[in-house]
Amino acid sequence: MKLTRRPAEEARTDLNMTPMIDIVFLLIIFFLVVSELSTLQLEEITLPRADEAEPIGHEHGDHVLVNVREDGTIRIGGRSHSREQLTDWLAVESDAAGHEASADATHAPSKLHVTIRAHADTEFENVQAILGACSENGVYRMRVMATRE
Amino acid sequence: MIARLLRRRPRSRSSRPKAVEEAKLELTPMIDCVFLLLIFFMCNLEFVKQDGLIKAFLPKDRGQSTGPSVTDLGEVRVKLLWCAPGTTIETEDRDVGEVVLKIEKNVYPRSGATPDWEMLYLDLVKMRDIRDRSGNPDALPVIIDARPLVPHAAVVGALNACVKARIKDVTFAAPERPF
Repeated sequence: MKLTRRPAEEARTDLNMTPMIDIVFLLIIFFLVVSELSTLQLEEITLPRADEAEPIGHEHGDHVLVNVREDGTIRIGGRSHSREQLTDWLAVESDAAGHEASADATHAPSKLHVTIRAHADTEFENVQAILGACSENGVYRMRVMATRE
Repeated sequence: MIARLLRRRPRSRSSRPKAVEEAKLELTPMIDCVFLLLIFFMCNLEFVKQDGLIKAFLPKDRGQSTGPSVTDLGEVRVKLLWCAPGTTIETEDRDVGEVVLKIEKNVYPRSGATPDWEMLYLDLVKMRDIRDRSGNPDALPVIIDARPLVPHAAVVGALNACVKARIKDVTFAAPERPF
């Protein structure tokens, strides 16, 4: 039996890194875009402390997040809203989310969930304005965001 | 002579040294950096989810008025007042089922002086027990009635005490003037 040596070219096995680098770059771009979008939703706000706050889990149904800065500015999705604009916007969102079955169709509660993310030092009347806008549009499911630390 | 020059073949490129031909780009440090960036962004996304939520509901009707409160234990009203430092609260004509907390101007929350949330929690537990003993199957409703200038942190503090006392029916009082 005769053993033949393999040619030198066959012995060299180079790993092709190009597809892996492509995928990794795509992942980086994805995370960059997602983090940019999340900062649009979440303003730089000092939240009030609450030990009993539940961790944010998987969200069911339609949700909207309303930020309130220390000076009372209402920010949604990176844009400032006046109280009138907020009421109009909530009317559109609550209609889009749909209403619960009720005997009184005109005052049926909306299925929309509103999360209020207000600065710890902002005056409560700024938050009350949002509650009023929610109440006007039949939105009663609301949550207040706080920090557990 | 000319014919000899013409016949001479041009110099082949293969005559260069082999080491120069096989110059390769070193990808390992770049991949290291890219993986570090990837891990950084993944971790950063996790940090965003550290905030918590407190559930509450608005009344399904037009809201509770801030007028004189009821005298039975059908509901508990937690009043958050915005007072000047040193102001005393009248306790004699306070209704049953009414808890009043004083939040002092220019003191709370920047100085770190907070209202007695533990006292509020104990009061709420006591009232919940009274309600449970009465045989009423419905949950005890608690209305948080905060003055407009009270900081939002104080309202969240009251809400936190309600959640701690296992009170599920928490609503907010409507403001004195219409929106």
